[in-house]
Amino acid sequence: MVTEIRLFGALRKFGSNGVLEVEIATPCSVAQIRERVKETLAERHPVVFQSTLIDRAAVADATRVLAHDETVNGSAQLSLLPPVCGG
Amino acid sequence: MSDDLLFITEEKIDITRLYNALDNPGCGVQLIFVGVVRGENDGRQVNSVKFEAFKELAEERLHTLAREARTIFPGPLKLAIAHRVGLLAVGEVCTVIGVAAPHRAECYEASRYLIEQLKTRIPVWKEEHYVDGDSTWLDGTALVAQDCGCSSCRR
Repeated sequence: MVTEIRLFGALRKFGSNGVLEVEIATPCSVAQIRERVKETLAERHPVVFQSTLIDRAAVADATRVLAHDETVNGSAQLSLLPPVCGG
Repeated sequence: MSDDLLFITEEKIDITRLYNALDNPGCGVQLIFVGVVRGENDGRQVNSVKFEAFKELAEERLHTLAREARTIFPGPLKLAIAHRVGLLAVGEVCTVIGVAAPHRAECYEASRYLIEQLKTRIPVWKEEHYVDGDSTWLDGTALVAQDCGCSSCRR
């Protein structure tokens, strides 16, 4: 199924209005989502995309950051959060 | 249930509002930390900084930090934290951390603790815009699922 993933910070430019649509078979792990996003962005932005950005990005649902081995179902609202630097 | 004032905002931060939220007869010290946009970073002249946040998660994590501070620092604490988002010019206030505590030692320590944790655990990002027209998103700290702040949980 097609899942919408909100992108923030340096990742935002890789989506349409900050949202990336990726084909993901759920349920799957957070690690699998991260890999699928890397594959998708590498296809769409082969020149500028740096996969290390995704390696260091956290996957979150609407209220919390998800663990690397956590299982995600099809209804989750997902976001991809690059390293933070507020303040 | 605490009555802390913790929020992310697009509006200019009203420091007086945060200061007033610190009122507590059990606290003998009120400390306000104010972060402003700096006009220089790594030798580059900064014109403005765009702050972006995942608001819901950021505010949730601010409450986690507040609960955590209460387990670390003794006595009643009152906390007021605001982080602004949007495009801010040099000199504009981006962060305010207000702490009220019984005594100065824990007040200073709690304030320092909160700003350091905010910088590494709250989902906020900043893009610096330079006077030469260039811009870049700054690197930072990777978020982790277990947001307890201890070093062993950081990946």
